[in-house]
Amino acid sequence: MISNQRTINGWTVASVTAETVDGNNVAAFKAGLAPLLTPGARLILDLGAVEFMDSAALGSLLTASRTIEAGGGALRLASLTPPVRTLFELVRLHRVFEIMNDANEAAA
Amino acid sequence: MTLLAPPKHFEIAADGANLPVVRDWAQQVFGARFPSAPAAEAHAFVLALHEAVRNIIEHAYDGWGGVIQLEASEEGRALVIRLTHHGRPFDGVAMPPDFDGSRDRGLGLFLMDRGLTRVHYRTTADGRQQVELVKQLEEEEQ
Repeated sequence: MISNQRTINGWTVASVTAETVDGNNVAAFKAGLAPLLTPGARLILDLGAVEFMDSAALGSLLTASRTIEAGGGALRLASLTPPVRTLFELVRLHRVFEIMNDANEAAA
Repeated sequence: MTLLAPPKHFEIAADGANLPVVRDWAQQVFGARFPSAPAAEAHAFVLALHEAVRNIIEHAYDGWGGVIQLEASEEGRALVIRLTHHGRPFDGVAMPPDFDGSRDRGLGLFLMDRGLTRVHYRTTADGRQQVELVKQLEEEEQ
């Protein structure tokens, strides 16, 4: 579910490959994220392939963000599709997460 | 009452695997009632319905299965969705979730609140539980 990892300017870029991330597969999503949440990690999550996320997926991203920040690292989100951006705006999380247009901008 | 092009009512097993069907149907009934609405408004409605059905699957039926009946109607200017089930009653109160780690569990209810005009929970005359989701566009509420 999370693959295509690469590094840009010291940031690890990981792409979410699932078109839907919701309560049905959020456990796999969390499991894929877990190894990336290391102390001091600088992680960019590319969500360009994700067309639908629900509250379960959002909750897992919030947890990931707290984990990575507690370890002195940072999490940025990139390439949000319009439905996913709508989700973040509905719950005002676009003010909580650092959201960039794409991975290169996020790593700049 | 105007007939909607998508099915007005249907039934699903209370299984998360059926949520894509629910989302497709929500998109269709919203588009039929509010054809000029912005895509973001439509998606907010789809999300709200997704969360409402997921709540029934996970909390009313506790993941043990059952049946959910979905019904759409136009009532006045509103699009009304009724979700009827045999699970246990619950009454969600949508509160803005905290983002400090203390409470994420309100996210689904908050999404329902954001995507809908009103939500009612009731017990039907035959003892079933019903969640009524009402959507009316702001510009039509004037």
